[in-house]
Amino acid sequence: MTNGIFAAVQENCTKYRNFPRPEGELFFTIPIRNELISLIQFLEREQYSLLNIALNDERGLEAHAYMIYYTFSGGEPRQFVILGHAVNPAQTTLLPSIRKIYEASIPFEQEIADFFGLFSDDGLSPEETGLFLHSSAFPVGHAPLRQDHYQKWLKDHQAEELTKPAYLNLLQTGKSFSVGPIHAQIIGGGLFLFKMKGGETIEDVFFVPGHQHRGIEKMFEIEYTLRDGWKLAECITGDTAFAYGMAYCEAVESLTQVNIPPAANYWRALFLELERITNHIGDVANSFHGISAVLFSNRLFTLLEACYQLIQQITSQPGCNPLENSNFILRGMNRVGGVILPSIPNLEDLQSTLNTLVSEFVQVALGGMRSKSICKRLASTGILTSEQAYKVGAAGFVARASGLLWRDTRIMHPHGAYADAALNLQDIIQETVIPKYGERDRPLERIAAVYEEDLTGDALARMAIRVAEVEVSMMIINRLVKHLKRNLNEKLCLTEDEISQRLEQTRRFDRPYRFGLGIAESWRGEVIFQIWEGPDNSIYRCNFRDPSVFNWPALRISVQFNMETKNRNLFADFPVINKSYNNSYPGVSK
Amino acid sequence: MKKTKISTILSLLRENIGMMLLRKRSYSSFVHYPVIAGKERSKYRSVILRHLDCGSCQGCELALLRLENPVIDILQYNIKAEASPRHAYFLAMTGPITRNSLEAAEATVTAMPVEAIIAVGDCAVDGGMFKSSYAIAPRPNAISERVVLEIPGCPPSPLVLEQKLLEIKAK
Repeated sequence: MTNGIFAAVQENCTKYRNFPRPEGELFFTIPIRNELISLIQFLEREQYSLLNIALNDERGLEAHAYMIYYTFSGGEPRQFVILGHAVNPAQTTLLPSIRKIYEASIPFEQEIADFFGLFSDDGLSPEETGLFLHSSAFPVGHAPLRQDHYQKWLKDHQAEELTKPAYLNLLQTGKSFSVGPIHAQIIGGGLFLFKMKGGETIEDVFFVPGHQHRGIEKMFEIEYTLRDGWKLAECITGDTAFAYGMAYCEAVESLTQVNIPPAANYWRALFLELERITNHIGDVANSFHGISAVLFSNRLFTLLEACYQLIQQITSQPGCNPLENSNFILRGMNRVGGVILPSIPNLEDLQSTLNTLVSEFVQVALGGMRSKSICKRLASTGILTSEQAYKVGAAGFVARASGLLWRDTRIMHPHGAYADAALNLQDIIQETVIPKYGERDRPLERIAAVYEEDLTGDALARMAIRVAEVEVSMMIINRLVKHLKRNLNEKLCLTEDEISQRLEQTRRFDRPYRFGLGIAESWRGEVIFQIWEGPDNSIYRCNFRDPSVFNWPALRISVQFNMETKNRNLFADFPVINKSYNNSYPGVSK
Repeated sequence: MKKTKISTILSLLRENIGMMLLRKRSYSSFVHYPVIAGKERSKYRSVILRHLDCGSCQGCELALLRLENPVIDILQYNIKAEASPRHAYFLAMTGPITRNSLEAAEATVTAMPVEAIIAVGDCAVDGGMFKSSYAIAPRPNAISERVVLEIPGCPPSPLVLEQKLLEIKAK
């Protein structure tokens, strides 16, 4: 274990507490702020990427302070590096700010300011606070994630004055207007504040996420235990339900050191890829629909419907009409300790149906992209260069469309089926991320550029990478099915007793209230759960992070007027760009 | 004098207008559309929806979008989603009504000509699994009074949605 971070920390090893963690994770607590900052600066130079920042109120515990946890990924071989730092309210209430080192930390600072009422020492501008708890709905001082927050707080403070949200101040300068939170389509609710350059060109856009804030992190603490928290996790974002459930279960399994049966890992990977295929087909269809390419979008919507019906068949109880089954978003199969299926699906049927679907999808989508009018509409619309993507920490296919092909937790931190040597899925993901077509198949120069090395990060590149990923997912499913067929009767989930036995061990990783880290590469990017355990298998704190936390700032950059990258978007381009991202509204609102 | 009901006057008017239109264009080649009056007509009435998101997880949105695809094709029954509440007969509300979205939701309801709400999904019916959260607003009367149809399900399956919407069309 001689990688950079370890060597850097080793000299101070006696000073920093190094806690035992599962394989692939390093965890230190660093008491002195200056040393924390210099260590994070070192990580930035070594090209570690910031994955998550979570605050935990541990005033009532051993630490007697707020603990802030920074999760990074990097090194050779890649590892999670988690740095903990105690902020003692008796000394200071200001958190260390790392926004000058990592721009990606800004959304986390905004979250913590709202949910804990704690600000970073670099100072947030007034417009940056109150994004999640709008001051028009919540009185000032409402910090729901502090442990001393009680349920009737809002009732007690009802009489207090509600004020106009500070983010609306952005509207008063220049030519600006707001769109939302209710939109003119069947779509989630979020407020966009536009600043125009004069005429039709957009100068800047600002996204206010909180309209769908449902207080989920607090609900985990109050109403759910480690065993049944997956129910709520799957309801955070409907279109990413399986990935959320999987990341939650993996976090609890890491916390309780449960090893799930290998067949369960295979099923999880299969459903994760199925979710990816379904959503990418839907998004490509929506993108075509948005630019009035109805010929292609209608065909793809038909394929999407076939995908949904396939999922309904998988998730329906035997003997029921699958069309009456309301579960077409892969809910209810993840459990702590494995996977529970209503019935084992007919794998041959599933494979052949999906193969026909995907091959038709690729044909139609590529056909659409080769049409000159569509190609020109999407190309150089909403450019996100690879430097910009790296800076904001863009996740998932957005980063990959900008050329950061390594930004995929299936490659960065392979686990479960992706780390299985027998399956060898790494080869598929790494070698075929960008499929290379024969000369005959790519008559247009622009498509050729997208498909080879020049991933320019525009709307066309994002569409192309989706098509490529659907193909990769199909290859993965084919290989998984081949292996699953051999042992269909294997155990898929640990028994109740086995899990209870595991959960009853109170001291984990040498200290109570340790956390578990769960990560799953959803179709949008990585979903992260960080769960702290309370007494009697309750949840002390559950932090989750949607990939859109990074991708909303990425969207802002790709809409902004920029002379250097020649990025100039009209107002009519915004829906096109927004659809090419399809960021989550409820995932970031929490 | 015996009072005439407004509805009968309206239906009479409709018939007359229909006849007038037909008389105006009485070419020999004109295909005569049947004039539908009274109860028969309501069968063919269109249902125009406006979608309102009050903090849903996008599951119900996926279900609503599925209705519009070429396979289910809810448009064949003249049920469609409109972009403006001013043009809508019904508000298809999803989500448990969060505190942050309450103001916008009420503004949308009052912007409608006839304020009728269809609650789509468990969350919209009674708050669903989020009803105990601090971030969910106590349901205002202005909204709960106007709910004319509840479609439970998490999310409701498109088949159920289709049936329920056709029911409201037949009323």
